[in-house]
Amino acid sequence: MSKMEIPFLVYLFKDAIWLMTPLFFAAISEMLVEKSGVLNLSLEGIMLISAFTAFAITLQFQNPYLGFLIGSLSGILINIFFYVLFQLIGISQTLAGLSLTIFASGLTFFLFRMMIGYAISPTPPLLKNTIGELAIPYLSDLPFIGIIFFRQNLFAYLLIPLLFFFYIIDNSQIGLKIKTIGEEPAMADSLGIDVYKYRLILIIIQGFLCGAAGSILTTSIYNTFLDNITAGLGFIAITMVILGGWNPIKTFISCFLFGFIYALQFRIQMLGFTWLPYQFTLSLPYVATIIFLVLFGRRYKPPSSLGKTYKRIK
Amino acid sequence: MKVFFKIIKWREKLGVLNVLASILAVGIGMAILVLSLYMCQINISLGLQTIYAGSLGRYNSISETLLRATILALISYGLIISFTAGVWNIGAEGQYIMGAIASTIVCLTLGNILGYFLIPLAMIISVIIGAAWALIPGLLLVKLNINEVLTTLMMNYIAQYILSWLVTGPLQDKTSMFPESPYIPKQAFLPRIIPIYRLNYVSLILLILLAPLIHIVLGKTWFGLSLKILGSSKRTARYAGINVNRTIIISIVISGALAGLAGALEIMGVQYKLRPGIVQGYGYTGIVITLVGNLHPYGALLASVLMASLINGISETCQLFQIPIGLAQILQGIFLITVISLRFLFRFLIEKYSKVYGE
Repeated sequence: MSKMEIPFLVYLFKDAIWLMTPLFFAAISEMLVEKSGVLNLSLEGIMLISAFTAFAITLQFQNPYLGFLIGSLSGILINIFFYVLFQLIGISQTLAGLSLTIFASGLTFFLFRMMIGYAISPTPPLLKNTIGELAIPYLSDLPFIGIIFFRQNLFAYLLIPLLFFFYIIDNSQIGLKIKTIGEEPAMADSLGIDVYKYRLILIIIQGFLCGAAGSILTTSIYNTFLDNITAGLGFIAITMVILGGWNPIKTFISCFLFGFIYALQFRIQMLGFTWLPYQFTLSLPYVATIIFLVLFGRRYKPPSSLGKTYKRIK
Repeated sequence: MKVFFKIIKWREKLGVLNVLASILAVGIGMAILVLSLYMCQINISLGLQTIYAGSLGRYNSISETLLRATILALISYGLIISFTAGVWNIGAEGQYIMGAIASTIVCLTLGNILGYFLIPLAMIISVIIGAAWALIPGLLLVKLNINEVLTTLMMNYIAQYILSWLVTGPLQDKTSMFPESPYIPKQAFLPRIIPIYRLNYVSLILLILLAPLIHIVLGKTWFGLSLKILGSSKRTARYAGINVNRTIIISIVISGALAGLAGALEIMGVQYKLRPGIVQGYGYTGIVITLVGNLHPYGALLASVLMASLINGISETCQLFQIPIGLAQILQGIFLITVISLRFLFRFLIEKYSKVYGE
């Protein structure tokens, strides 16, 4: 390999890890929620709203960490609203999720213009303070590996602990209870597992993590807000769960794969393939989603009561 | 026995209550519209007058509103069919884009050869392409059991990028500095009712005739009944001897075909050329209209006229008073959330109430 090629590959891997963070945050939380039998299609909406909240707070207070925190908390709020819609009011989960997503896209569209000014196509301000790279002393000086693993974005360091945490939960007694809820909610209920409480707690955790995923988009990746900034990322996260077969490690691997596709999409333009229209690289994640779903989508069986709201028969 | 009749009566009223939910949701949306006008420090009566003028107050705005309403109504008629069958096709946006692309290509390549056959041919081709774009997720759903929400959404993005590529590449007008195709030939323009306004015969006829047609198909035919049975329960549909897979495919293909036709109308009746501006979230607005219209073609007709007037009226108001143009978008989100919440809340209350009577 010549000297030029090695840094390119190294930066590709670095970007892949960086860009998989929001995807993994959303996917791993969706995995656990789906295991408990709730199909949350409002991921996209949650990420959109929290991305906007994080952006607005950061712009106002010039503090990206505060923006990140409030953005993540706003995710909890929206997800509790989702819980109310399907559990208390009784709307089908698909419908509730989709309507929340449409609502979120309208809300952010309006609030964004309200905030930025009254122009028809606003030029969004770039955030000055963002959450950037954190180089770990000594380790970051290692050749290649230092760049890939130890000069990462702050959130990328959370990937492994998060995976570890969810792996533990998945293999613990709590995880077993969650699986029971997802397979046979009535049976779980008769065994004394509080189905509603478990689902609500999982929904809250998911709200926080999805909110974090959305906030990462604005405070650390794009550094600004655009209409529909998530661009299907929430739905791709749901796909990751299917590809990963409701298993944390496999979900992690498929997220990394898609992080790699996103990184490729960013870097390929720098290589100067002028003959390749940029729209082809931009549509790469969506085409890949469909192809991967066709190839691997049927390998694992989803939780039996996925998407079915449980109501105790009195 | 008396109790039994009482419950039946309540159930019958459920239909009325669904309509009431829609009306209430529209009312709440309007209240929020007035509130946001107030918050933007606009004289409310002046603001509402501008909305009226921009939507239905002038001949030109009536024509524009009806044009937009036709496109929205076509999309939502298709969605009524697929949603009734319980197939969550959220890819109307992509199917509409593909229809628009197909009709543009037909008009630009065959424009000078075909003469009078051009308009029907372009429409048929765009219907076929729209249907084909919907067939892919349908097949994946039936054959591989892949969630149609994910695939249709991904295909929306792919369609958008295909459009973006075409208007900056192969189809771009070389004399224009914008990403857009050349104008389609004059004989492909849909015939206008009054020459100075864009409203055309085809749109108006489709807007008026399709609603009763869909109503008959849903209410009076075996196909409509099988859609309803399938929507309520797949298992029941199997027991009733319905070919579930075929019904799912047909329902999603019909919705794709109608969305494709809507795309053709946008090109041949409104824009007359392909440009990125045809993407206006009609697919998602169609979902809102379908649900606010209570999955009923007449409801969808009314809701699409309402939504089209709101979009046109609000955009005029926003330009005049310099307020953010997102008002229509946020309203449609509010319509959606309130209408589904109210409907299910009513059902919940009814069931509780009828149980009280029952015991």
